[in-house]
Amino acid sequence: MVVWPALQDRSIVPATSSGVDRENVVRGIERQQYAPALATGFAGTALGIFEQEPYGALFIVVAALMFIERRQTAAVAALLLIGGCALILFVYDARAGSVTRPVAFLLSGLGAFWLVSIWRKQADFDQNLVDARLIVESMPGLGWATDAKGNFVYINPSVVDYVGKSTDEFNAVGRTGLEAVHPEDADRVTESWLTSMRTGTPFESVHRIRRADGDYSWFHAYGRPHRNQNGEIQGWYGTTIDVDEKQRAQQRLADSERQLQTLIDTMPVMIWCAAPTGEPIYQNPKLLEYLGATFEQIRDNNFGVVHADDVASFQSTWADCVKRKTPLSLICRLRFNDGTYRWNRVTAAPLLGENDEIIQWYGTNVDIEELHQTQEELRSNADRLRLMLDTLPAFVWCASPDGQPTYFNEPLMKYSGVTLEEVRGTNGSGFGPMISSLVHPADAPVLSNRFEQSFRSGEPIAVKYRHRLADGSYHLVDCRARVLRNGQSRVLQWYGVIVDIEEESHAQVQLQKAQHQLELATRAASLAELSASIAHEINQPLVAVVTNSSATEKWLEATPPNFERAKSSARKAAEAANDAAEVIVRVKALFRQSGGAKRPGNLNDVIREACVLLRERISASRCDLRMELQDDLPEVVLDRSLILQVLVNLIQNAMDAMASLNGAVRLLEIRSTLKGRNVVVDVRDSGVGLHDTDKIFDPFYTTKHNGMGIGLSICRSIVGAHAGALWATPSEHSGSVFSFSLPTAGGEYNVQ
Amino acid sequence: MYNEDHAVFVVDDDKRVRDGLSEFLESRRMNVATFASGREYLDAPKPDTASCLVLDVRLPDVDGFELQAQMSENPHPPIIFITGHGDIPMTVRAMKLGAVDFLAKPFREHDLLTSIETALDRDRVARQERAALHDLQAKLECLSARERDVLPLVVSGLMNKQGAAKLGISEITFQIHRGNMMRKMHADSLADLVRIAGKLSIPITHSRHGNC
Repeated sequence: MVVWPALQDRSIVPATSSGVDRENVVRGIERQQYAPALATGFAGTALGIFEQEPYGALFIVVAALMFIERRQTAAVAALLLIGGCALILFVYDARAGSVTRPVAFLLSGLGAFWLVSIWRKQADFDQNLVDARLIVESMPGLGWATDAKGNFVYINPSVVDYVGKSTDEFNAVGRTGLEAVHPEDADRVTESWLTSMRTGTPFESVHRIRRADGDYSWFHAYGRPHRNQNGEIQGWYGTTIDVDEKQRAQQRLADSERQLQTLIDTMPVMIWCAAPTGEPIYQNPKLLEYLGATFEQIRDNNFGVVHADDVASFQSTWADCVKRKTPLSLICRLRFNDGTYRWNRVTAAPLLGENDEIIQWYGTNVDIEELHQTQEELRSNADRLRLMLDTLPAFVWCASPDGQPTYFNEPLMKYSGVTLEEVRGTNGSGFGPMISSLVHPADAPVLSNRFEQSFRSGEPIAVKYRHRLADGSYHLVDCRARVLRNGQSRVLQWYGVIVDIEEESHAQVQLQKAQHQLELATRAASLAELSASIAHEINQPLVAVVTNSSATEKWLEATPPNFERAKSSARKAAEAANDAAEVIVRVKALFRQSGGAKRPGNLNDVIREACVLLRERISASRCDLRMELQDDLPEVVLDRSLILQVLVNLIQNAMDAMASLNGAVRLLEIRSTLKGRNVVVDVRDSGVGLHDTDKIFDPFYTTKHNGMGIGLSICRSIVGAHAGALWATPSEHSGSVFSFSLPTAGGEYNVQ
Repeated sequence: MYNEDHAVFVVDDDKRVRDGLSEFLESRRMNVATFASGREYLDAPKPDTASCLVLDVRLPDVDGFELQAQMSENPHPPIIFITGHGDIPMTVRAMKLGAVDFLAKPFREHDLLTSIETALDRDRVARQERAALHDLQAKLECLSARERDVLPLVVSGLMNKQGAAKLGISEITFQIHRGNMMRKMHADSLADLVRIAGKLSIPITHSRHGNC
């Protein structure tokens, strides 16, 4: 930004100077200028004082002349002085004692000195100008000067080289060089230039200028006004420096900054900056949009968007990170713009300066709500699974493909009094430690064998052994395991359960006992039921005997005695008494047979006897009784009274099932057939049918409101004791069929 | 004892028992009708005389208790249960439901006769009461509307003046209605009328002192 005077006009003396070099140059010139004047002054003064000569005054006058500033006038004066002195020397004769000639000589000498001084001054000045011009023209920038109106008065060769135009060409255009400025910048430059012209302030502009070949480069133009003593602007001097690289670099920087900003603003990531102490400085639009808050709101209350439950831990963690300058990473709930709270992972890292001081924090937030939920779900699932496994009343274990235990559930560890670590052993030790610590020594070899085989082949394990309990005792357990394979049927894991069957095996024994007792009880119960039935069978005819005989008496007592009626009554009484006797006979027969050994007999006979026994009831129930008995039935080994009891029971049930039928056909069908080696008896009714054909055989289960629910269970145990079977099936149309089968005597039945 | 004013119904599914009881009761000059089931009994026409029902508990279709429950809505003959296997709970249940007796087979002839007599007596009384009530109701039907208004006022003990005021008629007219009403209801005195009103469940709606 050095401003040089316009070199075109050499008369212009710099009015302002800003360069130190230039100052020195001018000062040198001045000293040289004053030297002859001083010499003349001293000579005149000496002459005047020592020689008392009036010539001394002349010297002083010449010395004064030497201060003439104008170079040409001074040169003329010097030449005139030399000429005058030479004339005096030639014309004036040398006289003794006359000082005129020496004075003239001296003056001409002084004049010559003056002239030389002027010449030297000029030479110095010219040299300086040449130097200055060289500087101006060889400097890398474009130098220029204009007059007060803005017309170019000088442009350095660089301008001509670059733009390809001379001063005149510039001025000819009329826009003072703007013609070469990039059209986009022209207006701006014009305005700036006009403003500077008007106000006299320095002109500065950065704009593109067209090179001769048409390309544009960026330039930084700077111009200053040149004023005269009165402060009026005489012209402008300026340089225009190529800043293309810098400008482009700046533009690139700006571009990249803008890109970065765009990136930050549009990236679907929430980014923020914070001051070293943690106050927010910047939050990108995504973050603000996410939070549904303005930056000011965040700045005022940094933690306002954090869930109330998370604020405390966030604050303490954040404060800790700020204090220790460590990166921050935490998850917390942040208020989403719809008011709900969503889980976010907040991470931040401090930017550290040279002295390890925090310059700024840079952080990102990532919404991990879905992830968090999934994780939570997974965790709760895992927890639930673990809880389930640990509360399951079963012992669960897992093992690696080679049999090394990988998991024992809580109950199993408690049950066995060991921890997984204790039975796992070292890596690769397989199931050895597990067996040696948990299995009865007597069972261990068998179990090891079995395990080894399964773990090698992948076959499911199902084995019973004595398991060591926490208290050191052994329980019989059932251990089962299966293998989980992947797609390539590679064994991944063994899953097993252990079930304590100690009690079960005890229970099995007890169940057998209980069944035996039940059998005894049912026998007793059946006896009671039988006796009730017998009582009824006898009571009925007994009532008839009593009433009829009483009637007979009355008929005879009557006046006149009614012999006809008496006879009839007496006959009825006798018949009833016979019935009772018959019952007694039958019962006697029943008891005579009951409890005795089983004998071969014909089942058809027993069926007929049952029907005789129930004759009255069957007729009263208005059932249509149909019997289809196979004639040539082989004999079966049976306890007649017990089988009779079964038949009576089944027939009574059938009648009961049909008792509530109104108007519908009451069909009671009894059939006997030979099927293979068994004689099968079906008792079919057309009643209401059954809901559960199995449960009805359970003791004390009944569908009748006045039944005890033991009839069928007794029947089943009776038939069972005959190595037969008793079952019920629904009938085709309605009702049900009760059937029992007994093996024929020729079969493999073993009489016990 | 042999007359037409009673009937004994026997329901039992055992023919021998039916015949025996029929013979037994007929020899004692009783009118007997026998039925093999509850349904048969219900369907049969029955004479309008004092009667009782000898009922077996265990019957093929509807058992004795069910039959009793079915009939309990309407007036029915008193019941004597007979059963082959009775127990105490059954007895209690039967008696609670108004049975006259509960006899286990075989029963003493005397017990049965006593029970039957008790039952018939009870039925006779009940019939008389029903007839009397029916008679009173018929008399009540004969009253004119005004006389029917007068009746509760008189029964409530209101004086003629008060009653007349209630109905908005003169005392003389009230007295005439009252006299007619007393005559039609065959009431000899006020006390008699109050008794009749009690049987007919006519409420005392007014008080001599109150103003309701």
